[in-house]
Amino acid sequence: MIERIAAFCMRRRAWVAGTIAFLTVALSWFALHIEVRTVFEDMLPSRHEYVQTHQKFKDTFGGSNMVTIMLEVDKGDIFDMEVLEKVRTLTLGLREVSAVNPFQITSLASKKLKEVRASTDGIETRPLMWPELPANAEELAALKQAVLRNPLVYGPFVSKDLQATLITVDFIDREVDYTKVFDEIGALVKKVENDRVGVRVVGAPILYGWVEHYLPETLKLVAIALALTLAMLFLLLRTWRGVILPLLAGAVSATWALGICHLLGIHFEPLVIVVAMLITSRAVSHSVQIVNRFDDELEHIADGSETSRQAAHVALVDLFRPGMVGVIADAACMAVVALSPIPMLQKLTLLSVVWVMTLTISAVILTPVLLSWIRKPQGTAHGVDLAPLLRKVLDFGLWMALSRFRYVVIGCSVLVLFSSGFYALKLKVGDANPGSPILWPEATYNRDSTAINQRFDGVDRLFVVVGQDGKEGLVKSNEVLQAMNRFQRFMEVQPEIGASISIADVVPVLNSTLREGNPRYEELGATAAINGSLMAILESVSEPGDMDRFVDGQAANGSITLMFRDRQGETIRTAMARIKEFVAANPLQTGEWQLAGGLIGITAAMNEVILASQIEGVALALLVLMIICTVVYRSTVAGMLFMVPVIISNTLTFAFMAWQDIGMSINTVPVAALGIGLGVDYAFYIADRIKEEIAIGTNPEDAIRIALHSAGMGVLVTASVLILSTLLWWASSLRFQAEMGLLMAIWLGISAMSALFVMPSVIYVFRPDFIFGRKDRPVLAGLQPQAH
Amino acid sequence: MDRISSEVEPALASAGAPPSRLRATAVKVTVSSVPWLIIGGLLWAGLFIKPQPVGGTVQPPILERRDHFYGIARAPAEGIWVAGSHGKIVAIDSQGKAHALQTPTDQTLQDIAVWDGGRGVAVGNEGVVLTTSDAGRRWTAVEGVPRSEVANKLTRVRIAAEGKAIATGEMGALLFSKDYGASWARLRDEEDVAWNDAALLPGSGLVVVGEFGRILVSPDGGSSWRTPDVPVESSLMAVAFRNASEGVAVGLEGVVLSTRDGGRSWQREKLDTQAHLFDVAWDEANQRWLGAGALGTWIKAGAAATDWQSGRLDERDLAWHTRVLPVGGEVWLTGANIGRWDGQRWLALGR
Repeated sequence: MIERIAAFCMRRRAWVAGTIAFLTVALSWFALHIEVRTVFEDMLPSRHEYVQTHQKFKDTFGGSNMVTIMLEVDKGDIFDMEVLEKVRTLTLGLREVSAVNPFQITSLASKKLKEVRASTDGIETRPLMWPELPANAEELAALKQAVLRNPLVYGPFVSKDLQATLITVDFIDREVDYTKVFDEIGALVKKVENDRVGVRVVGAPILYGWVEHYLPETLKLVAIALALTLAMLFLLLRTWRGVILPLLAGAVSATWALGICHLLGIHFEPLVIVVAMLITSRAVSHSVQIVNRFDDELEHIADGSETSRQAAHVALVDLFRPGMVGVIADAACMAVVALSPIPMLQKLTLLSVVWVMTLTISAVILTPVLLSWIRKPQGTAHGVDLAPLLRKVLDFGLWMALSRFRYVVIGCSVLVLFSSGFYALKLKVGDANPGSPILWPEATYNRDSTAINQRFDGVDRLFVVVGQDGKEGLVKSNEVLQAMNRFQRFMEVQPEIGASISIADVVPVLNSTLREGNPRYEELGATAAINGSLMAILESVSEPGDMDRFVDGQAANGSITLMFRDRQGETIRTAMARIKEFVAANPLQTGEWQLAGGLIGITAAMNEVILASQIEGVALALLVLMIICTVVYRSTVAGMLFMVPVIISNTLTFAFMAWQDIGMSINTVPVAALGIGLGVDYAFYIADRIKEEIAIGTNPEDAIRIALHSAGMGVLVTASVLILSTLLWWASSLRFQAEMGLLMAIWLGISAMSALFVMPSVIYVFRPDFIFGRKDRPVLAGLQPQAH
Repeated sequence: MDRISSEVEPALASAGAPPSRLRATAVKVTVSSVPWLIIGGLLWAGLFIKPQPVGGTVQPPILERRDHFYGIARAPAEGIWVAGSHGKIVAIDSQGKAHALQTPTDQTLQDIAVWDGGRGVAVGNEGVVLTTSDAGRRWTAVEGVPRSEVANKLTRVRIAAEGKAIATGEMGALLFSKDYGASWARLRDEEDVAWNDAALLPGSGLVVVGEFGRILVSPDGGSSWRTPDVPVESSLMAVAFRNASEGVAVGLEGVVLSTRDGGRSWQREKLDTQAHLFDVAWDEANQRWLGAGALGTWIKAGAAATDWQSGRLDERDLAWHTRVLPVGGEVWLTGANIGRWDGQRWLALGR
């Protein structure tokens, strides 16, 4: 079968190459038009309870795309005409920003922040600073007093030291375009910022805006990495074909993958460029293996016109199986990620599976087909020969496999496996550090976030809803108000929760105001009757929309918003566990608790989904790998054998992530899943070559030597080249990409090491039948394609 | 059945004596079932193991963020006791270390007072009165406290020697006890006014202040009452006397009144703040009047009570305080937060 495919490809090589060229040109048009952006909705596991609550109430109680802007002064306080003017300018300017929900802009200068006043004429509410700024010093002093008296403003919107004030703005989720919002808010901020008044901005649109802001830099890194890869390949392989064909393989598969995905309506997330790089590196690896094998074959074939064609034929036949198995194993292990209910991961999986599958054409077939046209196969392009150096490394691997040292190698591997496996248990789901893990700690965004969290009670929000649809006025009931109050008190015990706010906080303020500002009445009323009348008063003095932050239109549902100082996985897990504990202990007679919206709510949902599928992902990927190996080599032992490098590289990587505080999150899961398939490619080439050599009757020692010097050389070249170029990512302004680059380098390193040093020892010690053939059966009874 | 290796297995099987066919089969079966066990295990793990999130545990601090401590008293041994939200009574030692005392109520306590000899009383919302006779180890709720049909918040409790105590509150509550708080009786009928504080003068004089600038004076322990003229209409929140005749009352909107005749006549004193004032106390050790109120306000004056000064405890702490308690050279203040003030520096207890 493989023989027939190879013969066909060689016979019709012009036709095959032409078709591939045509398809590439056609798909390149689509590939160039693929959309590069982050779609927030895609990150949500839509069937999760929290996400459903979030979607239902986000327009009322605040979405996950909320942007928080802080104006701060170093000296004096914000009650200064210059600062207030800026607050007003920003507040008005935000209305013009695209996709802004104009009803969700809150600041001192908005209509929403009001003071409640009790006077001889009755009770009245008045916006603090809307529509006009204070006209004179007296009004300014009055504004300051009004703010100080109001615990719903003093603390949540004006810092306790009076040196900072917040503006919060929410967006219509489905319309928000992060780059646009980032640029528009950036322009607004630039207008008001000066030496005296500092402006800090945080929120999901800003964070992803930063990511897209660094896109050009990222592309530059990609280009540099590519150039370095090619230069290194040229240096090590010493032929132009060794540079151009891997480049072509990478380019063709990228074009195909992006083109097909555009046709399928999938967009490209800037953060997953790492994944793209990873897959391209596979393309380069496979292609280099084939070029390398081609070069090997040339040495055995006498000079003649058909040399290239014959060598290419042999390379195609011999490497078809390990190449295909490598590609299919990669794709299948990645496909497991699609079981996740998060649409972004599903789309990413589709993208990467398509991409990896294109390698079957671009690397496994196109490279040997093009090789067959090589005119002057012998000779090198430059005189620097590093091959002896590389051979020394390979000889070291050989010595390890064949000497007594092989037992030490196996022993050490087992030790490394268990110790790293044990350490990997510390791997955390969710962000492991405060601030955003996507950016470096000293990035503007993270510095802004820290600054706001220092002055205020926390920027990231979670809301819990109490109530029931259709039960009008339920939130006004004594039971619900008391429950909300107890809930807030219970939750605020957690130090990472800076504050919480609900309608049950407004009532005590009103109560105290009605009692001449006597703080002994700053509490909920003792009876349902008192609370009922307080709520009635509140309603009579507020305008439509005033209470939106706290209750919905019919007062059937009310929200409790918790402000978080960070969104580390541990913080969120603890908070969610405590919420559930409270809800279980405090059931309501009417109405129910609904969890949980806001950025923290959906992050909790994502983390829970990722946690629940963590074991599933790894176990099923290993299972798929084992089944593929079992089927291809008709041996369950083969499955077991190839799991060795995979498991080692996985436990080591997870241990590294745990050590470096890189948490499992929506951004790292795809990279981690890719790693499973990745670990095995190199081992396939080595093991397959040993098997082939044994099949033609070579003795085990020679078989291992030949395999290491041919396939092993390819592994060594590609691994060293790719490790160097992925390490370039360390220079990225995006911490996420830098860390993922490092992770990839480690993966490549470990899988190359285990293929070169561990696998030969294991094979030599255990002598598995699928490689060595059964002693009680003829050696060639398997399905081995015979190339020679 | 698959085999790992036909070269290695026989060696394994024959290792040791004597080589038997049964033994060889056993080894073969065991070894060849390993891959299937792994496959089964992976499938099972993949399908059935769903880790559940486990959160950390959080111990509630003794002083919670939302707690208000309205009342304060010197503890029987050392340090202070504060009483407030959810029926909490907390003992705080001189180093600022807090530990909670067990109480039988979760109603907010508004005030607390301590006699010599470890006896104490605390009053609060819904007419709750707690007493202790063993230095706070056990607090018991007093039964049979006179109640109103309308409202029952008790806001202050004042004590004097020999177990005398007076509690003030909503709906004209003016309750008196002569037995360390074990039993209580009304001094006046129920009426629609909140009495905010009372002073027990040496002898049997009583001065009571309340809403809308109302003051009551009784020379005979509550048998007869007089209503002196008061120059303000703001509610008066607290009253204190340094001897039988000289006293000060404070109230909302920066009102300070003084008397030099045991409460029969009152003068308004000048003060440069409009902030609400909630408490005033005589600091015997330093011969000065001290008071506190909203927005971190402090007030003080010399013994004559004419030279009033005011200021903020800390420009960055605008919390309200309902009680001041001079202890040595310092003053404890309690309310939205608890802290010590030495006249220069405000040290709030960490929340």
